[in-house]
Amino acid sequence: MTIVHPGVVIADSQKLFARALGLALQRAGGLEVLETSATSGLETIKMIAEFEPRCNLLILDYWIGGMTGPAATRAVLRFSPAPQVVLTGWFHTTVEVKEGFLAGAAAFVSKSARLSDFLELTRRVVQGDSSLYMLDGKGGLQAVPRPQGKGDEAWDRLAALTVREIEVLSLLAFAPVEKVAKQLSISLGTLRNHISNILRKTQARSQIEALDIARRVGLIDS
Amino acid sequence: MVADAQQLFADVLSAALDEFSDIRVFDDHPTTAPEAIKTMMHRRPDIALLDLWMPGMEEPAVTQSIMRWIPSGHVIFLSWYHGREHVTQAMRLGAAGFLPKSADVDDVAEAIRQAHSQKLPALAEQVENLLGTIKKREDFNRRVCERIWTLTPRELQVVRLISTGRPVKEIAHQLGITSGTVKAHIRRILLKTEAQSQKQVIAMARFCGAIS
Repeated sequence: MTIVHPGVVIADSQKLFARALGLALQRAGGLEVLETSATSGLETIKMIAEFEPRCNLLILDYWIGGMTGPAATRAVLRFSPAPQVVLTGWFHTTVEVKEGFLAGAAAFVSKSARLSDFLELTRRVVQGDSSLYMLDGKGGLQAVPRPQGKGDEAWDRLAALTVREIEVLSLLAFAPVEKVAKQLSISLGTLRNHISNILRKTQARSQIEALDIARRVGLIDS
Repeated sequence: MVADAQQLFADVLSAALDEFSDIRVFDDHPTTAPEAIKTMMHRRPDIALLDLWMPGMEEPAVTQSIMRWIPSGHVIFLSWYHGREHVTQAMRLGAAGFLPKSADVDDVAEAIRQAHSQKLPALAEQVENLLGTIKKREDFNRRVCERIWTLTPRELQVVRLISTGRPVKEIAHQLGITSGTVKAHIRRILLKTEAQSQKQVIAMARFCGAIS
């Protein structure tokens, strides 16, 4: 079944790029642009969940704020497994590319790529092409073999967290509990419940340790 | 003319701007400073949209060379990272305007129109606002980091170990000192940084690049 107007969400730390790319995908790619203002991993996760099942494609900046690309990819796909995720990078290393594919990305695009190649890639991905792709300015569009391995095993300790718990953890990294409760408009008691659930799920002895685990896996990134 | 080190960015921005009936964008999008200068020499754009950071030259030289090929007041810089010196330098060399890459496509189009019709005061005001925002950010960074940089190497080591969530006893063992000494370090660290919690010290230290 071909989707008539596949829905796309663009998440990038540079709003101007996201907006302009959205316009191009709409005009030349026939896609329906659902959202281009997500500038953090957390915002992206929430928006995709909100747009489900209309979101078929996510174009995600490797350096999206607040989380690394692979962590954001895993988190998005855990809560909303439907969309294809295309990671965009710039001077990325082979390790970063591998992590991205292991996290579940369908393609990795360098911002050195030409728009015409990018449009061809989105066409293939949206039509359900199950190959993994790399795209950059030098080599053009290339199918690549699926990498071996499971990726970051530390991710498993965070795999059971809910979106809310991830949000709480991200805020706790920079603010005391009182401020976080206020920011989320919840009571201190509710917040402490979240915190004890987080500690239990991550098997951490303290907030600081839970934050350290999250940071090492890329779920929190300054 | 749109020139940016990232081809995809230049392509999509050009396509978006070309949609405006009163703006026409050249179809070559240079990605290095020498290419940008060549295009400016040969095709003489009315307005050039340039990234501050382009391979091929140190960026102050870029702004100087670029200014030779295009009349003053017809270059608008678009940049992701920009300190105050970059912005003021660009303006001093005759740039018409400076926009952050968090701007909207419409803002860019409007800036192009203003530069073309030489409505420079409007663009200058925008730059003043941008400088104000940058100053606030730089003042904040300095306030926070000044305090972190008063910590001794030993104290930073303690902060690094605390950040991994290890309990005091383990830290003491690792450093070959008593738990009491570790706790004394922590008290002094909190005093020096004026932080309200260990967690806050860790966040500050990471923010300032004192720990990874």
